[in-house]
Amino acid sequence: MSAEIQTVKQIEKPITIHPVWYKLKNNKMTWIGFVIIFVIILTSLLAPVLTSYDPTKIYIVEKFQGPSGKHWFGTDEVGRDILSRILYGGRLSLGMGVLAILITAAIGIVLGTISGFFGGYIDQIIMRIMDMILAFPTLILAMALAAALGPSLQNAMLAIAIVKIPVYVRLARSETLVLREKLFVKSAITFGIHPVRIILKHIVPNSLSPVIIQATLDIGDAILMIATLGFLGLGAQPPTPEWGAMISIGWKYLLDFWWYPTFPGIFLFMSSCAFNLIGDGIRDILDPKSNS
Amino acid sequence: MKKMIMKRLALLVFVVFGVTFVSFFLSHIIPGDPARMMVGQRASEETLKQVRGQLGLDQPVWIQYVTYVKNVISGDLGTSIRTQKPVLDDLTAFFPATLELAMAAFFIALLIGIPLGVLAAVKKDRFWDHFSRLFSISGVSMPVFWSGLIIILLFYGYLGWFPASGRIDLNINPPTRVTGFYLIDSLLSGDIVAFKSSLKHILLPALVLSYAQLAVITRQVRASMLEVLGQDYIRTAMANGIHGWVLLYRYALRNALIPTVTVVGISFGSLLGGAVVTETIFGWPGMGKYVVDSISYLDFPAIMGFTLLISIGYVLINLVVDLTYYFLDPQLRESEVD
Amino acid sequence: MKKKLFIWILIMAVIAMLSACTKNANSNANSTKNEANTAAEKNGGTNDRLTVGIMADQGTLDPAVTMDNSAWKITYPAYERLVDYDGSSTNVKPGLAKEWKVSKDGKTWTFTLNEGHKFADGSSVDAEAVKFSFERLLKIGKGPSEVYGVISQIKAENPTTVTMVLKENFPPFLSTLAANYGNIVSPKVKEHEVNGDLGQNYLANNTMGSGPYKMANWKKGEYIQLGLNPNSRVKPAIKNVYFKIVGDPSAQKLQLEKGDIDIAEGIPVEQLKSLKSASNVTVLQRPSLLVDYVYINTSKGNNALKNVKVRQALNYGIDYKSLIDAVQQGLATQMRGPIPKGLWGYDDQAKQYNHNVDNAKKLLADAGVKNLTLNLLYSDNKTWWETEALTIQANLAEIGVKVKLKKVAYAMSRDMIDKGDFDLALGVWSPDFGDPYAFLNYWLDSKNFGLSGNRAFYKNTEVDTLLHQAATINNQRERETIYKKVQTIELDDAPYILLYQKDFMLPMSKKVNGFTYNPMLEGIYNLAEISN
Repeated sequence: MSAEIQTVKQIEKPITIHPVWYKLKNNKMTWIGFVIIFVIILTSLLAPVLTSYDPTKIYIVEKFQGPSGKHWFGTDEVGRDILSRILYGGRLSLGMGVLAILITAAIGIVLGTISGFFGGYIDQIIMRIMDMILAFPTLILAMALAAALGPSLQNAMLAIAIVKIPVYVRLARSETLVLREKLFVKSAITFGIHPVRIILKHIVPNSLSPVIIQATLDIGDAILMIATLGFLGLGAQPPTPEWGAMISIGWKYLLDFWWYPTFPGIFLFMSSCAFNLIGDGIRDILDPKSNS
Repeated sequence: MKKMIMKRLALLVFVVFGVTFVSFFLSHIIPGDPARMMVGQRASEETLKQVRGQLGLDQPVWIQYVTYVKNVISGDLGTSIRTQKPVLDDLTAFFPATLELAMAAFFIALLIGIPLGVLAAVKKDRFWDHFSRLFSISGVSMPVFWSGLIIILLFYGYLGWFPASGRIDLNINPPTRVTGFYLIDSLLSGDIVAFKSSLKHILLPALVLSYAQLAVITRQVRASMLEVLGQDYIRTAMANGIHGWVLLYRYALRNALIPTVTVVGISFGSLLGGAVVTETIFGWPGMGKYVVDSISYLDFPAIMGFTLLISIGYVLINLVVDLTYYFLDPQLRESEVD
Repeated sequence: MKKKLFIWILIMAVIAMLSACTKNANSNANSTKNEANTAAEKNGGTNDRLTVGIMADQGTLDPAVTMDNSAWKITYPAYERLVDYDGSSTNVKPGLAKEWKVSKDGKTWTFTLNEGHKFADGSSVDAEAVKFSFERLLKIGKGPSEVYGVISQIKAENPTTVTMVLKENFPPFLSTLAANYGNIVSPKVKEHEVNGDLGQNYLANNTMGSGPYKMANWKKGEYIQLGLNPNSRVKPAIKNVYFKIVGDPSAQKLQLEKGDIDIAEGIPVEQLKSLKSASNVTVLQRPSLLVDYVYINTSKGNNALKNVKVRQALNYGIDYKSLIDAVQQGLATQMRGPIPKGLWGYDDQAKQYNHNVDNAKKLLADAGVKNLTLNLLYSDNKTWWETEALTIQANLAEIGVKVKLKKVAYAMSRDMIDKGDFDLALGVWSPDFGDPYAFLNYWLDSKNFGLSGNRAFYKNTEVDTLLHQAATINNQRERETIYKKVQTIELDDAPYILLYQKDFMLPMSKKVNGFTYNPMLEGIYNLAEISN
């Protein structure tokens, strides 16, 4: 008898405990995404080792040099090394993009769970405000906020965070509505446990997965938005290296000095693509509906 | 259903007030004196005062806001600081072009996106699935200016098949305005030359714009197809000997499209607002460029007018989405009867 | 059934949205339909057509309202003025007026008009029309009225004689009449008046002048088409001019090379070199009167800037030659005094600051200033400002001054400049009329603090007195002497860093002939003399 149980456990184990890992292993695209992000983060952290150029130092005489052994990705309109600007810029663009989404997701979860858990007036007020934010053209609202807060990278990030909140609130709220009807939550309420505790202990952890998926998909977009705000003078102030700003200035030189917008563009494209692949992959893995 | 429409319309009122309120007060926090921008740099204090009076800027903010809302309700969006023309005139001149481009792009995105999504679901984890994933995700991630310029270089610069900018050839006069859409208007007036020319002009920008929107549709169709394909009635149908395209089309796709409508409706809204760069590159006479220029000029009457238009459009699109949802999903209708 | 409903709802939604926007559509497109179609068939795009690629659509075209000189390329050829700039010089020649007299005190100007000039609407250009135009402009009271605020009375003595009485002597007056503000508008605009707007709404989208061209068709965001004024006595070779909006510089370049546009306005200087190698394109280069300089905030900015030695040090700190190379590809000339070369009053003996790091450091040490940090304000208004700001930052770092860049939206930068909320700021200036007044009186007179011109918030009572004196005498030689003196003081006091006078660069098809560049009319084409 004991031997029988032993074998059943052995068979069950790999299937029930590691399905996520199992699926992840087979999802090549997600892995590609992870590898790309890892490489980009690593290179931007190692920027001082990988390049000897100062990303903000100007050498007018060497402006608009094409890619060569000296400058792998060429130089820009004031002779700065584009590779070093991309590497240092990666810290900022990726860092700010991720941070903006983290803030958004955190606020979104809090508001969404509160809204879903308590319902009634609180729910109405929160959701109508969210509806209003959703109705605003995203870029305009972000711009207005960034301008009102004063132009700086931090404020641009904050503006993006605010603009993106409604989606997270909706996700967290609908998850909460389902969870609230579950037995373990209902019993917790009956036992008179403090709502804050219930939300933190039971609801938030269980409603996390759709939020994580959404967040991964949004990071690429957030990086692009920081770039756009920077273009409108509401983001990073020059000469700070930042991908979006490099692209928006380099854009008009595409025909003659193709390397200028192209290399930062490739990096922006690759990281946005990678985050999307990861997000898409995680959705496949965590979303029970897509299990056929 | 009545209840839902009422709810949406109530939201509309709320949104209009919210949007005007927020943007109006933002416009007063942000530095930049509209009167200054209007009179030019060398104007004296007296001229400035006079213009401030004309614009009502010498009134307290609250009164200015009330006046603004009153004017909006009576259909007057104020005068643009940059163009010094009524905002409503500017917007109505640019809006149809943006809408036409967005709808063409939307159409193309559906045309490519739905089959691609179905294919990905049917061939899950095989070549076509990976291809569809990579193709659609690369679309979202690629900066539009990049895909736009490459497509111009190829089809205009190198091959010379399509024009690079505008809506219609300079020497062809646009068709009589009925809907404001050149493609439809030229057909209505039977002007084949104009139709051909506008089709040629819209194709490249619409392709570029649709490429960026493809992922949303493809991924959603794939996900809901997978869900539907795994359900009992499909299995039953298969057991009953229904196979291939009939099964896919008649049974699976139709049900898979229901959740897609929601996502697609919202993505259309972002398409409208997001055509800015595409319009600049292709010299497309839409609202995008108008708004970007207005932003740099801090032309708040124009920005507010645009915001208002898009917000109302957004609420209306949501209403349409809800209605379609309602008609597509029999369960929803039955539940209301009860 | 379900599907049909779905489709119907979609259609209804579209119609609902559209009906909202078609209601107010202006439908002047239809009237020209047949005309344009047949014209296109006849000539199949031959040489009576000129296409100019411009960067953005235009705002209002009312000469009494617009302060935006990019709109003047449309309005200038559609109207006539009492006087015009002569060829490529800053002097004026007769226009609508065949001759004029000025009283000894400089306050009364009498113009005798040519006969036979007609507006596009058929009415003739007479003294009443002139009187009407200026009175309308003053009554509307927007930007351009500032220029003519000096007028106290206009009298139409008889159909061919107009008298203008000024409040005070204003020597550049004649020159202002040749600017776009001086356009004579047909009195028939009164027929288009709505709610007492004096026809502003109508003229925002139309022209009502007597110039050789008139507005034919304006497709918003796409192109503006000028056609011939049938009543004009001038018979230009170009019958249709299209100002085509192509907002992307790369797209403009491609279209110019392929011959889809004849003149391209929006190509950055860095790309002109490669354009010159294209066989069908030539790049016109002329010295312009547009100057690019730095405002040093002498009273509201960093306290150190109140010290003249610090300001001189900043002037010595700039490497002018390499800055011009970096920012304008060498297509500019370092300024010598505030008045640019090409305008009378330019002093070729004036002092010119050179790049001298040691001198600059010494001056800073003398002033007792250490670890100076200044902010440098600029906007996205000029594409080259980013490069310029970076270069200045690098230059001043060498003399030990740290510069923090502050890039803001255009409107915001104007507000901040007006309030004096900056240490250093980038700016450009071009004259409204061909007189040194347009530079010195605006830049240095302490009554023009802020955006109006004295953006350095510079006050020197001696300069003020000299400037007022120069503004009230009519003898050019005497005025020149005074202005020379003012320039010497300015260069010592150094409230500005005078960078460069930009070259005007215009890439155009080799087929385009007859274009004359006038530095007073930058961006305006003498369409009637051009052939393609």
